[in-house]
Order: sequence, then C-alpha cells, then structure tokens
Amino acid sequence: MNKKTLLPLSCLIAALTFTACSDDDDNGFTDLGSKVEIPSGERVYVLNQGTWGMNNTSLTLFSPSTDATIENLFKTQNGVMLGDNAQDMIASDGNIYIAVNGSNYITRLNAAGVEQARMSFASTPDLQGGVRYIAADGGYIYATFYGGYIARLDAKTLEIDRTLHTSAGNLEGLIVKDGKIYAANSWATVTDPVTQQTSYQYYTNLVVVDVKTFTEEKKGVTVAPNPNLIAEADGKVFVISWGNYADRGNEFQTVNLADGTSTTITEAKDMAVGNGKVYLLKTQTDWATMTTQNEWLSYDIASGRLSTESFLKDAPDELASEIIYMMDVDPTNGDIYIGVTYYASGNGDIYRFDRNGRFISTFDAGGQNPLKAVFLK
Amino acid sequence: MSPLLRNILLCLLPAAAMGAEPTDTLSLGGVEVSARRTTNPVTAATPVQTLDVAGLRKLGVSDMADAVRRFAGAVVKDYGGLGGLKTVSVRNMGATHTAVSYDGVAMTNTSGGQIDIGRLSLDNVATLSLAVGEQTEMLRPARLHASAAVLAVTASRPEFRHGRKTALQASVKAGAWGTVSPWIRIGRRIGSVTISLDGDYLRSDGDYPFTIKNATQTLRERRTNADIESTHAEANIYADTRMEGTLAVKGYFYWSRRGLPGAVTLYNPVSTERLTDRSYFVQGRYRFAPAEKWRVEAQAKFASGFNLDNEKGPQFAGGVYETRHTQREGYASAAATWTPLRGLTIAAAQDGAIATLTSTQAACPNPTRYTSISALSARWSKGMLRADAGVTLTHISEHVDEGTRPEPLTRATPSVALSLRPLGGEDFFVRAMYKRTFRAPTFTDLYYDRVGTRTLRPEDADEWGVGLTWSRPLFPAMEYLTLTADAYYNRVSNKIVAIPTTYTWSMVNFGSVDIRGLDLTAATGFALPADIHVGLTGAMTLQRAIDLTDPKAKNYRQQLPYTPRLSGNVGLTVATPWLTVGYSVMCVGRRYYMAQNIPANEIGAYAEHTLALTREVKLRTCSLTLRAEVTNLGNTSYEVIKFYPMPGRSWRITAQFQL
Repeated sequence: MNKKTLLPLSCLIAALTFTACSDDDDNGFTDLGSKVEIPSGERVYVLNQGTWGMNNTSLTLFSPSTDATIENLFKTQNGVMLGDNAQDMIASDGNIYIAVNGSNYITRLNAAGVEQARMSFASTPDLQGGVRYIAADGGYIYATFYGGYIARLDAKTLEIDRTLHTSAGNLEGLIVKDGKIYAANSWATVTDPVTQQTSYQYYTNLVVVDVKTFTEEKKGVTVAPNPNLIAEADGKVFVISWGNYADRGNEFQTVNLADGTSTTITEAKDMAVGNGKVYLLKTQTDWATMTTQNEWLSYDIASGRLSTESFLKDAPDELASEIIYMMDVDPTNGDIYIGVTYYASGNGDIYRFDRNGRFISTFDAGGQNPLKAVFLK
Repeated sequence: MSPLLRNILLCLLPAAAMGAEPTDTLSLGGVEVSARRTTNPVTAATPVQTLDVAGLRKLGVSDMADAVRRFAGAVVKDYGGLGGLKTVSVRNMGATHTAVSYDGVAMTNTSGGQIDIGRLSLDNVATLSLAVGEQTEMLRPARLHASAAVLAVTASRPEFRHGRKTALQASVKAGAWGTVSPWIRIGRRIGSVTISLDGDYLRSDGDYPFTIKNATQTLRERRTNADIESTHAEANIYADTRMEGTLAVKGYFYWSRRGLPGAVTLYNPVSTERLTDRSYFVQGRYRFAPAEKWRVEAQAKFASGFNLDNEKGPQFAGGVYETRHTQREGYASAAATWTPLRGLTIAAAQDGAIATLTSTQAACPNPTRYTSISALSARWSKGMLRADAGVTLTHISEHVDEGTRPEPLTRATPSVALSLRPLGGEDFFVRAMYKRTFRAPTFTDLYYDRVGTRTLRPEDADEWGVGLTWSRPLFPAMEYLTLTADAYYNRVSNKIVAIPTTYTWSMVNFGSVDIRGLDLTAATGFALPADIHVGLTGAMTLQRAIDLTDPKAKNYRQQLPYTPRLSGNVGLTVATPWLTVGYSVMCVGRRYYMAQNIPANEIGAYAEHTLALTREVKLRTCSLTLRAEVTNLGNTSYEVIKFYPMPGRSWRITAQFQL
C-alpha cells in the first residue's frame, strides 16, 4: 500500500474512530449526524402512525431521566417526513427500523434518528400490497406484506435478499424463532366469480417458513380467526386474533409450536410482554352511553395463570375509558408505556407506569395514533 | 338546401361571397353588450345568491365547482383535477345538508348523501342560485323545503335568433394536460313546443404537475392515474299549454371513466383505483294555473346510477378488487299555491320517493327506502313587512333483505322568515330567519360493511340568520349597486361521524358544532363612454366554526378542519366593443386540515387569479365567440384538501358558434 492510499485511509479510520466514540458508544449505538442534542441516558422512541392519507407519521424521542421529549425527530434529523401510515418499529443492534405501510418502505435509523438506509417497495409489483410488520434475526430484517409475501432484507443495507409468496392472504405480525418464521395469516377480500359478490375471508393459521431454505412449510399453526399480533417471551409464543366481526371477537391465545395448536385464554385486543408477564388490554364500548371500558389483565408466563386484577394500580381515571393504541414494556427496567389515541382529533398521549403498575407520568405523543415504543439504553 | 344548412353556410362563408347586403358585411366585429349581471335578490326574506353563468364565463370560470365557490358562505371541497370529487357545504353544515336541484327537480344520492357537483357541466347552464333556508319560490316540491340550503341549477334553453325555428350552438374547448371538450346543442321550435338536444364529451390526461412540500424539501411531481373521459347527453322538451301551463321534460345521460389518484402519498406514487359511472334520469315538471288564485306543479322522476370501482394490487385475492353499486329512485311530487287574500299565499307540497341500492360489496342488505315529505307554508305580505312560515313533515321507512331494518323515522321541522322594508320606496331590506332541518342517515351510514350502524338517528341542523340588503345606483353612470350582509348562527348536533370501536370504525351520532359567520356580497356595474361597461362583484365570508363535542378533547372549541376564518373573491369584467376582459381572484385564508389547531396541521392561505379574454364576432346572423383563459395566473401551489394538490397555471381556449 503506497502512501497516497494510506493517507486517505488513515483519515477514514480516524473519522470512523471519532464517530464510534460518540456519546453513546458504550451502549452500542451512535448519534452520528444528529442536529439536535439528545439527553443522555435511556431513550424511548414513540412511533406515531398518523392518519391514513395525511403523510403525518412521526417519531418522538422521550428521555425518561429528564422527562424531555423531542417531537418530529425524523423530520428534524433528515429534513423530510417519515411518510404515510407507519405500521411497525423495532430496535436492533443499536438501530431503529421503521416499516411505513402507506409509503411502503423500511428505513434504518441510527440512535439519533438519522436515516442510514432505506428500501422502498413501491416499484416492486409483488410487494405493492404494503409492508406490515418487521422482525430482526441473524443480520436480516424480515418483513410481512399484504398479498401474502415475506421479504428478507440485509439488516445493514436493507437490500432485498429473498422474497417468498406464501399461501396466506394478508400477513400481519411475525416472529423469528428457532430458525423459523411464524407470520399471522389474517384475512383477504374474496370475489365470487359468478355473482361478483365480495366478502371477507378470515384465516385461522400462522404460516411457517424455514429461514434456511426460505420456503413455506406445509404444516402451519392453527389459531383463532384473523390472527394479527404475535409475540414471544421466555420461550413461549402468544397470539391475538381479531375475530370475524361477527360471532368471534378478540382472542388472546397461547401457542404450542410443537403440535401446531393454540389455546384461547381470554378476550383481549392488545398485548405487551415483559416482567415475566403478558399484559393484556380487554376493551368494550357501551353504545348506550357511548363510553369505552378498558380492563387491564395480565398473564403470568411461568405459571400460565391469568389475573383479572388490573396490572395498573393507580392509573389516572381517564385511562379507563380512552381508546388504547399502544402497550409496550421497557425491557431494561420493566416500565410500561400505554398510548392513547384520539385518532384525527389530536395528538395522542403516552402514560408511563413502573413495573409494578404505579403511575409515573404522562406526556404528549407528539403525533396522532401512537403505535409503538422501542427502547435503547 | 335545408334552412339549417343554409344558415350555417351563411355564417361560415364570407358575406360578400354570398351576395349579402353591404350593411350586413359591416356587422363583422360587433360586440355583445352583456345584459345586466344577475344580482342577488334583495327582497328575499332568506339569503339567496344568484350567478349568471354567461357572466361567469367572461371571468374565466369554466366548471361548476369554480362557479359555486364564488357564493359567499359556500365551501367547495375539491379533491383536485377534472375527475376529483367536488361537494358543496353551505355555512359549514356539511355537504349532506345541501340539496341540489336541476331545473327545479332535486338530485339525490341516497347511498352517499352528497352530490358531486363536478359531474354537472356548465356548458348548458344559465344560472346558479344558492338559497340558505327557504327558496324564494313557494311553488316547489317538498324535498326542497326540507333542506338547509338549496343549490339550484337552471339549464339554459336554445335561443332562436332572428325568428328562426332552429337553433344551433356548438363549442370546443381545449386546454392543458390533453383536455378537449366539444359540446353541441340543437334546438327546434314546433309551435309552442321547443325541443333541444345537448351533448358533450370530455377527455383529459389530468397529469398536471404540482409542487408539494415534504418538510424542508420541495417536490415537483405529476399527478398520475388522474385521467378522465366522460360523455353527457340531454334531451329537453319545453311546451306551453293551456291555463298558463308549462311542461318541461328532461332526459339525462352521463357516462365517465376515470382514475382515482387519491391523496399524494410521500415516497409511494402507486395508484390503481379506477371508477366507471353510468347514470341516467328522466324527469318531468308541469306547472299550470287551474284557477285565478291557484297554481299547481307536478313532478315525476326516475333515476338510475351505476358505478364500478376497480383496484388492482397483490393485497386483493386474484390481484383485483371490484365492487358494483346500482342505486335507483322513483320520485313524484305535487305542489300547489293558493292566494285566498291579497298578500296571503299558502303553499302545500307532497313528495313520495322509493330508493334502492344493490351492491356486490360484502354484506350489503340491498336496502329500499320509502320517503314521504309533506310541506305546508304560508307567506303574508303587507306594506313594508313580509313573513314566511312553514313546516315540513318527513317520514322514512326502510326494507332490507338481511338483518334488522332501521326504525321508521318521522320528524317535523319548522321554518320562519321575516323581511322588512323600513325606508319606504328605498330598496333597503332587513331580514331574519330560522330553520330547523335534518339529514337522514345515508345507506352508507347505515349499511356499509362493518362500519354502518342501523340504529343511527338523523343529524340535526338549526339555522338562525339576520341580514341587510340594499340596492340603488348612486349616480347616473352606475347601472346598479347591490349590497348584502348576512350574519348567522348554526348549530349541527347528533352529527353522524365514524368513530373507532373495539373492533373497527363505526358510524354513530356523536358531537356537535357551533358555527357563527358573516357573509357579505357586493355587485355594481358602470356604463362608461365609448360603449364600455364595467362590472364588479365581490363576496366575503368571515366564519368561526368550532367543535363542541367533548370538553376534554384536544380539539374542543377549535376551528373545524378546512374552515378559513376569512375567505372571499372579487370579479371584474370590462366589456368594450372590441374585447371583454375578465379578471377574478379567489382568496382563502389559512386553515387546518386536521381537527387539532396546531401549526403542524395548518395549510397556508392562497390567492388564485384568473384572467379571461373574450371576443365575439358577429357573422351575419350568427356569432362566433372566442375566449382565452389563464387560470391560476400566479402559478400558486395550493391545496383545497390536504395532499390533493390543485393544478398550477393552466390555459384554455374556447370557440363557440351560435346560429
């Protein structure tokens, strides 16, 4: 290597070294390129889905140690909007990944919200049904799509590595576990070829894909109609199905992957895993009084027991009747974050509780429909 | 040679070549001196605004939405482009509270409730009138009594010039983005009967460029999937009969095929939804005076509308999603006025309608709606006072093939209006009105799969208003001056809205809005030397419309979306013997596109300028009108509905021939 080559290389290495030595290097993530000062300590990222067609998906950063929030973090750092109708967000290896359904792309951000890579699916006909949920495993990002597709992307570059058309209608939540992808086969519109009558078909299975061969396995997992959310904790898998809008409602189920069966535990619309529990939201609307009533249940993973006693001990009164759009648990300290939506009427609110369900604080989500929170420390 | 062909040739060939009289050859280059602009009637006890479409054309107004938004207090929701949905809401009560009548017969959309005024062509329209509360005409169907506001569209009729029995008008418009629209009308007079046939065709690529902000970036893109092709045909028969009778029969057909581009989605330009429409109706209206103090009107109508919605994508089984909807309505109305005493008129009307919807959409129960509307009203005029009072009784019941049917609905709604002329012979009037109306849930509200709610109640609207009107030319050169000012307070309650539920969205009666506003209009005209006429019109609306639904909500008492506090327009026409110049500007203040009034939800103010030049050339006994228009002269980037960008500067030329 001659000196001419060596000099720029040395500079590059020095620059990279400087970058890697940014504030949060010890935590495995960087703030390179940040235009704002981010409070030290743990970070909570709240993804606001926005309202369909309004291109107002946004990202808010909350600092639990200072109670400070930075609204519109993505817009501030990148000078553009996140786009329309985000569907999922995960944190992996110090990166934040966001799947934006309406705009139909996945983006990778560093810890400061500065975009590092992006993959758009808008010009890929098979994937134009829209990206839904994402999961990270083994250096890849796995994504589900409406239309029954699963795509595997390089976690760093977000280049598409493989795509698979499964037997599913529209796919929703997924997990990757023990070399297999489990994805919720939710529903599809069906048109009768004779009468042209359209109807909805609600599926009752998780599709199973072998990660190594990237092929769908013949045997799926049977669940209640219209599976949507799927989570894994302490080696066990949980599913919430949203029912058929007729005689079957929301059902929380435990899944036995070995024999491909599931067991309904209780009615629940949303769930979050942490602190050895699955926290469950059961919600009903009384049409006579136009009020919603929420119940906060918990399922102990180790014992398999359902507790109907509220896991929120001193929740503000209003939380009993608000529309809940998000429940997530901070894996580092067990804090529980609950997002309330007012839909298009206004920005959502986030309520924070400690691991024992004691109310800590509330803050404006900074956008509409707070959908997901992820954590970096 | 037939008279028609002869007349056409007379117009097209050089006059001298036809051996015409020298005086005729000198008539080339004449100018039409426009008749006095139709001004808003000052004597009406309720606010009525009228627009003369011929005058609007000289201002460069080319479509119905552009015309209607010039009414004070009217908000046109325009989703952009020739094919985009355009609905009108008056004084913020919502589009479903505004009835639209075409030649005196109401147009309906039982399925969706709101009328897309973008599907009405201005080519064959004579006047547009917007009445808030009651219309001035007492002899009208009960359905028009029952609405909070009525947009009345009156078609133009063939003009038989120079004593001819045949009339011919034809025009062709060409404009930006591949827009071409020919139109033809043929009229024939046979005794006391006039027959006319109209037809127009429109095609446009609709792929206009637009500029949109993405935070700090400015994107310049083109609309995609925004093309439209449409055909509209009408046949009209007008006849004068015994007992001062008039009969008007109309057959109407409309077909269109268009792309539905939807909102601009950042980073994702894919748009595949297409819509095909095919609708027709036949309507008849007969008016006569059977006795000295009586006038009677009978109406009948049958309407059918079909549309096919098609969208492609891997998310649909088979890659395609298609739904077909057909709605039909049979309608009849009888109305009469009786003047038993001088100054007192009593009117009664009874309507009946049967409306059906069939759809291939999931879980559509193929509903049938039976509607009866009875209206009774009286007008008393004495000296400087005029008083109107009325009550409307509506009964609706439904049949469904599956599931429970909604409870039958019976409701009585009153209205009163007063007009006072306090200064004797001066055309100065003080008016006041109250009207209560409601809008019934639409088929979509009731039955849309998973969203519709069959227990919905009607949405109520109360309107109060006071106004001043004054009309008088101030000096000899001033041909007219008309000023109106109307302040109003509206309350809409039991609003039918979609709210989220445990499983999905659902239609419910929830919430109310409070609307206070002031509408001002002015119109004046001047006759200047050298046969120059100047017309000046203006309209302005100040409005505070707030949500009172939930005191705890973040949008409580905040301005409703898409409601500017201030909006207005000005139009100036200068008619000379050589050229008519029209200029107009439409100004809309800043608004919010979402319910919460925060900076992130704000849309900026805009002003759109239009310039039109019109020259009419008289060719013997025919005329040729040439018009060039530039709309959005300043190439302003703006949106009426967020993420539905409007076109920038565009041009259009029109050539119209009239025999």
